[in-house]
Amino acid sequence: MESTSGSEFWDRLLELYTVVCQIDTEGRVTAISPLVERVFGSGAIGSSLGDLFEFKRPAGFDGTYRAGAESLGELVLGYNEEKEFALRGQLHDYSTFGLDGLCLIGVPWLWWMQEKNPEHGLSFSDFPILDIQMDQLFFASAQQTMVADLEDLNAQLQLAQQQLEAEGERRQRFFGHVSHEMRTPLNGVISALTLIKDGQFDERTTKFIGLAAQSANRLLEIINFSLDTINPQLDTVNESSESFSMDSLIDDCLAITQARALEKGLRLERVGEKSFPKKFMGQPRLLKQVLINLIGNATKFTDDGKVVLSVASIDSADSDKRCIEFSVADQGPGIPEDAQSKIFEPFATGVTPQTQKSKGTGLGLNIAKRCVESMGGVLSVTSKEGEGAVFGFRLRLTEVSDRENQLLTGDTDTEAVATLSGNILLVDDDEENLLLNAQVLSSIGLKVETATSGQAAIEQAKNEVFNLILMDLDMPQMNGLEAARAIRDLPASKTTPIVALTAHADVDMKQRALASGMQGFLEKPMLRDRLPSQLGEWLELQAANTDSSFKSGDQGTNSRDPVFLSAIVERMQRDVGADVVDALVSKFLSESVGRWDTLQTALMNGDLPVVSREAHTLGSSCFTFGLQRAGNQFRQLESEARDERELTVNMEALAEDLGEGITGLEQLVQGS
Amino acid sequence: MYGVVNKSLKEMMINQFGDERWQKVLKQSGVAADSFLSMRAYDDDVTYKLAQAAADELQIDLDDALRAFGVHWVEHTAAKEYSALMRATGADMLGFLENLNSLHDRISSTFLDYRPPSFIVDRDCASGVSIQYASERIGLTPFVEGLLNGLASWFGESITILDIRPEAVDAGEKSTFLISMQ
Repeated sequence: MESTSGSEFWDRLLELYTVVCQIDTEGRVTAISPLVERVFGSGAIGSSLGDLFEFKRPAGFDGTYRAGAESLGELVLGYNEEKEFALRGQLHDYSTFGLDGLCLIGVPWLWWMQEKNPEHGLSFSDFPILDIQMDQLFFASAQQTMVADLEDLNAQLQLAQQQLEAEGERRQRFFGHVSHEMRTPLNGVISALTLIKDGQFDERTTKFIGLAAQSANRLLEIINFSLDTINPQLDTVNESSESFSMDSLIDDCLAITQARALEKGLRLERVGEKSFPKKFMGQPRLLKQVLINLIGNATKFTDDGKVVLSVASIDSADSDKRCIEFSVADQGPGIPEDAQSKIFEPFATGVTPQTQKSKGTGLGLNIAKRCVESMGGVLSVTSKEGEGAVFGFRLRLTEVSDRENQLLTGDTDTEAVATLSGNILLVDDDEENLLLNAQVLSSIGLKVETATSGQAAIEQAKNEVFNLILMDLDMPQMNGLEAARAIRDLPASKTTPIVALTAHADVDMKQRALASGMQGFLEKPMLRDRLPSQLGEWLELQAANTDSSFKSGDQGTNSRDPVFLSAIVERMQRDVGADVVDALVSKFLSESVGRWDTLQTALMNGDLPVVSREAHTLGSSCFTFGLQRAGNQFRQLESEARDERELTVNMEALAEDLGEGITGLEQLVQGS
Repeated sequence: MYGVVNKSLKEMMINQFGDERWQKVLKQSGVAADSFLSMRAYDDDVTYKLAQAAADELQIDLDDALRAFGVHWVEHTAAKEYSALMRATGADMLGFLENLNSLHDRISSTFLDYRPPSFIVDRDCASGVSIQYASERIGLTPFVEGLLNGLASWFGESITILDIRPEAVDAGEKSTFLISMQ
């Protein structure tokens, strides 16, 4: 290697590095680069390296010659807090080049200075061209900008999603309201057409009336389907489990569809198990709807031969349940293989040449499929073109003994009333309802604890494990949904069934209740003889009591909405005693006056939240004491106010019905 | 061009004229994207379409729109998002422009699609200072005019652009700015 002078070597170093310090064997600085001189001044010459910098790396390096000689080639990181300058470099032994001492060569330590001294004033010329710290700085800035961009984009997307969901919900509510509103007049049209059809008309008119009736029925089916579609789970939450006779259900289905089969000259046969002596727990309305639909469809597409309904039990691994297989076979034209996957889609009227000819809405099979799914089954089809089709599904149903059935239905010769066992928590902000219902629940054997607010219920659930919690949905401060969610989060209550207690549960409310962790619904007013079947799903059924005073009776509202249904209060008197009822009625009457005034004021002021709240409370109380007609009007008022719709309830008529009902209530209470 | 340019144009429109007019610009331009990622390379056509639509919406000449955008780019985008680099690139406008090629060289080593312009500063030309701008892109000389005014403002300097002399080139664009420094 050609020897170079110290000066030439120094100049070469300065082309490659901007921070250069030469030290002699005593550790004194003997030469510095222009950048170091700019920072520390020419006075740095002669000082020790350790006076200029505090070293972070290598460990143990203090700037002395001796320590430096032991750290040759290692990364050196050093800084001077006072000057707010830092370096990163390397120590080299100058003696290799025939010179004395060590040389510290490097560049400004940019990251340290960005952090400690952002106003460092360094420029590109302070960094050698091969040093990538400036590149890194730009890259880091670019990455930060990208992160900010993505966060901004994410926020925009979230906002757009929220707006979209809100708009979707608004449209769905509107769609639901419109569908409901359409159904009412349409029912009137259908009823009128039904009555007109009974008259004597010429052939042409009769044909047109039939056409009108057919179209109206299809429109009603579409509206019903639309309402079901809004609720993706169908309104099956209304379909509480109940005991039913399979034989009666099948007979009903066959009887309903028989006429059409006979009209077409078809045989309608039942095969499989001849009879099912025991009753089952299940959802008979849904099952009946499915079977009628499938048999009707089979009849429609069969021109000659027979339609066969098969119902048979097959082995079930679960000893408590039986697996029942249902199938409906026709001798129609069959369904091409490639069309079979589409026939369950809504409005699938054009899937096959046969469905193209049919004049249905194309909704029947979709509804049947959803009904079967909501009962826990799967509707399927097997078919070959020209060989008919078989639609089938299986359901696992619990068989109930005769005795259990008697207990559940109250339908016994000895008028035995079933009882339940377990401890339950009853939550309701309405003290009248709370007291009354606690008495009713106690009377069927349950140990009842009460809470008057959602918060109080949570506290009680923390301290005690209940077999069941009955939760009112409409409570001030913390509603039943919030309370249910909080209770569901408690370790001890994770599996405790929570059942909503409500006077009105629309589909949306039911969905929200299920989403909050509730398992079911119990409609107010609570009817004692129905409780065993309603709560039997969650509580243990006990031996019956004999109590001739309890019989099933019609306590519900009917189409005429009686002003006062005395049977409810009479039953209450038997359940909890006349004294308790007297006290409750007195409380109701005294509070109703104030609530009625508040309601009137809110109506005048257009304060819909107050209207809704007061109508809810008054309505609940009315139903509790049998004032059905007023109760229904309050319920309608509550609904309209809550949804901010036009208030259509005639308040004068309501006042009259309420007054008349109260008169009847007072007479009954005084008479007893 | 990188998305940061389109993003800056969008920001300028919204800040100065409101979201409604930006939406009109976007619709008029036919550009599908409403959001731009700073360091993603977009087709140059996107920027040109947005600039033309903005000029149409504001009923001004395209060159005027580009000049305004140049000023906005320095004052609201570069100065905010790349302030450390701006400071490191120079202590004054001419120093900055002299180091700008070096900055662009470094950026090119990281962002491989980067196609930067170049600047040559002559502090001692006959009429004062000349800055030669060259780019493979066409039509952005007015944007550079805005950039120079924005830079001077950012460094607290006062300049007058005396003349802009385009030069004939086979491809792209080359212009020389004659500047008087006050």
